[in-house]
Amino acid sequence: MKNRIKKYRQKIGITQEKLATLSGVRRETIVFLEQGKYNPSLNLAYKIARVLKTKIDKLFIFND
Amino acid sequence: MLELYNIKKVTLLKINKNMTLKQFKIVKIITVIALAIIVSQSMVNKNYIIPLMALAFSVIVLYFIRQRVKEIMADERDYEIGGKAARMAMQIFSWVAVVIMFIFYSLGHINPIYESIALTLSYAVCFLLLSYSLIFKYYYKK
Repeated sequence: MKNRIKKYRQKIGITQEKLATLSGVRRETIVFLEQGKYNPSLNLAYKIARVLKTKIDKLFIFND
Repeated sequence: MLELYNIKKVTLLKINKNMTLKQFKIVKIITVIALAIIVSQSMVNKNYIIPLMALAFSVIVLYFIRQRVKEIMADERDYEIGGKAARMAMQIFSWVAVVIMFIFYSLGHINPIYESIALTLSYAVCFLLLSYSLIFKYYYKK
């Protein structure tokens, strides 16, 4: 699943470390998420969307 | 008196200081190395109480040190990878153990000890699969 985490993170000007801390995960998880190598749980997706002040459907692009 | 006060203050500051994940990992490695040395030396000297005490002590020490780590030590990705790794390790162990078991069982006529080893391996695999099934069932219903 593709995502726009990096774009939204840079938009509000926070580091991967800060996003990780605020979302309750390790920085490596954010790195893998941004690279599209890991699909988060609904719980984590919601937390990230809340930190990045956006909605899940804007953050994640679902493709079949 | 002032010096003593300063020493106490510094010590208190050091105790209250939070530990980083890297520091915790270093302490953990040192503890494991120390524990391995104590256990191996005690086994050589046929002393079985000291390793148990050392094990309990190290578990307590690591538990209290872990409380001082404020960083996130593991998240959902780690648990997911851990689950996959455990499942894979279990499958590999089971297959390898079963193959070795059959080889050892067929060599039973050469030396009876091979048969005992094969039997032990088969029971180990059975226990592993049984415990996996029970734990899986428990989490499935939870």
